[in-house]
Amino acid sequence: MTEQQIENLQKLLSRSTLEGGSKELDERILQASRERVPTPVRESWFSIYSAMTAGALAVILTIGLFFAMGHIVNVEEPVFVAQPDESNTTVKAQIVDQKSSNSVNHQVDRPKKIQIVPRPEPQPADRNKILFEYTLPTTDSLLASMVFNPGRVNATRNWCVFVVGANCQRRWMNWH
Amino acid sequence: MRDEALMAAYANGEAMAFEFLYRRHSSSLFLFLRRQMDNVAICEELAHDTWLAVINQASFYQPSAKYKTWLFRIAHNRLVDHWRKHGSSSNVLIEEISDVVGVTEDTVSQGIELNELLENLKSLSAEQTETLILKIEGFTHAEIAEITDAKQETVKSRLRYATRHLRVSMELSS
Repeated sequence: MTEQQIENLQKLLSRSTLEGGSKELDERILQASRERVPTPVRESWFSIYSAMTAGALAVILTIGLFFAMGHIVNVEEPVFVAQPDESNTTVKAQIVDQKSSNSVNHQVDRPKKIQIVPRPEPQPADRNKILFEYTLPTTDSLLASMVFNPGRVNATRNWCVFVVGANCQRRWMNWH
Repeated sequence: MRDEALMAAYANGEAMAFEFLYRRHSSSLFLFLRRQMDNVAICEELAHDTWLAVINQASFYQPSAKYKTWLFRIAHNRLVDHWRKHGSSSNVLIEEISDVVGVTEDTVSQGIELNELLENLKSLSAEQTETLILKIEGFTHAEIAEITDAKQETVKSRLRYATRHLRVSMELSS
């Protein structure tokens, strides 16, 4: 739209007789503005020191809590999305000790059944080892979820989970 | 005094600062709502809600955008919420233009042009009409995009469409 056109329309509407809001509305809004005037935030050394002390206490408490609850593992339910290739390759989800310096060989199997086949209960096994794995169904768009029992996982290590397979989307999920 | 400074003053406890802001923008904000809503009572309600939101959010206001843009965005959101609950908008702008031209010198040619203008306005969507109203209000494309939560390209496209429909009749007032 050209400026001239806008100007024409503005001129036209400047002669508008359309009325504004009522005086009652004005009064109601202005009254509300007076009643709800924000309280000014006045900074003082006292408040700055208070904030710093509160912050430091929060940090100390957090660290304390972390050590006190060191063995509690907050394991959420990870969800994996994997897309197998056209050869319908089986996808495997594996749990690996992330502190391992060795890479784990990815295994790709031929499809067997469309079902989740869990290995035995996960054990806090040796490092560098796959703890357990699930064979996941190989549909076009595969969505599988795995739930871990926190009590079974050694809390002192970093664990990660990833999905492997040909053309699979790989997602790492870490927790401590 | 700039709007942003007045808002900061209000956030700092200066009640009068809000009154200045209100006097400055209440009329244009109300017209913005009124041109898209034929029910005056609902317009007042929406305007009231908009200003209450400004009052309540005063402490958190960050002058990252122009105050007027922020204000109209709140009003736009209230309007959209209302449309979602109670159905589509009505186009008061058409009646307004009709009234304005009606009280000026009326000639045969103006009458024809007016009819064309009104017919063309009727074919605009609610979004196109709102964009046009905001443009008339003096907002830039970027500001309209921010108010209506649309991309700048979309705003330009809406205005282009409106222009194409209104081109014939824009000479009305000249």
